[in-house]
Amino acid sequence: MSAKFLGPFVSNEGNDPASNNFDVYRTYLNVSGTMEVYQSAADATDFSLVKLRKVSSSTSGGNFEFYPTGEEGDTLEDSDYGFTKWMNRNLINVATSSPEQVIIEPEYPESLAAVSQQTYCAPY
Amino acid sequence: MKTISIPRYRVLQNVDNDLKAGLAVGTWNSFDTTTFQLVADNSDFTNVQAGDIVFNPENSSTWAEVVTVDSATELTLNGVFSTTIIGGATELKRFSVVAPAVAFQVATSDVDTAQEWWSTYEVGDRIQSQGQQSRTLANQAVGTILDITIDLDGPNPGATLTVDMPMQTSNEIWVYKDDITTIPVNEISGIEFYKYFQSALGEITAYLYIGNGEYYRIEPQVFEFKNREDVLTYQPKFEAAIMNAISETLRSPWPDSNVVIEGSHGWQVRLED
Repeated sequence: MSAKFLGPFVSNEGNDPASNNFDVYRTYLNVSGTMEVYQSAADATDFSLVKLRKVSSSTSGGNFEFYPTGEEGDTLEDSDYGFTKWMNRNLINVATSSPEQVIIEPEYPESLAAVSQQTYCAPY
Repeated sequence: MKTISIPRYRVLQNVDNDLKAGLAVGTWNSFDTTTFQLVADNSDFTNVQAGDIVFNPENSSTWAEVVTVDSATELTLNGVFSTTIIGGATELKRFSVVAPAVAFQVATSDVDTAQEWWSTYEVGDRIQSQGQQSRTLANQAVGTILDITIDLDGPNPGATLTVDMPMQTSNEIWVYKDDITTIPVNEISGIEFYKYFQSALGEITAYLYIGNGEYYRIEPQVFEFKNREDVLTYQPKFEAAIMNAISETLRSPWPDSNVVIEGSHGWQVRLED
């Protein structure tokens, strides 16, 4: 299956990009093949982390990790803030894209509750 | 297999320095783009003559000729020359002055080096000057070798490469031959583009993760930016160049298509596993 990339997802670590000091990541994930979208609870009630994972034969895969309200942010119990639905929507966008479209930008609906999205990409 | 590629450079050894004495680190105070008058209080133009070539050593894609030497610190040129690095926004005040006879030449007086150049390089190979500011790797002005001559028996043995743009030869000269980094696009699991600036130092890097589980990273990089604006200006071009190459090779009907990333000459490439 030919590669298709979903992105960019933008995350800013530390200082404001508008300042003289900045540290910004823009991330694309190859979402061809088997993908998983799931909440990853740090504990029984903390759903602040949502993952998009690329599954491989070694059962590990490329991970996107989203912290909907910031890595250290306050979160409501048992809530993923609509992030799993949002990710599924974007995966469907990729799956239904034309063969000519190989890089698909993510959609951000107004209903998405994200205020501080942190994105990490690490294929392990 | 669908692939994208980044050319790798070779460093030419024993290159003769073509800079005029006293003008190795020229910076101008003002350059009037209407009258083409260049004023450089820290320079001494005593040895400069009409016809000498003036260019930005970090982007010699355009250059000008000296028309008159108005004083020891003032020149009038016949036009403008590049005053920014390619992709950058910050005006560079550095300039080089080289005699026209050697401005478009890269030469060596070392016989062994001359023989190596003669046997290795050919007309059409791409060539690039690292420029005056040796830490800046954003100079994308890439020339082409137009002619190669070798003289082993004369009073001044050596070899000369004639190129299509002036080169400052006091720092490294890079030639692009067959060395290349090729990246299999379907095996890329994810890409992170990173831009950073702090304390007057910036970098732009792409982390291309290859494989899952057991993975490695290929990291094209341009670094040592001195200005925030140059990072902000160049990063979108850097990202677009990589993503456009990926898009082009994936959309090609040819199953083994390869696309060289546009403007990637001079990029540093690291492998991390």
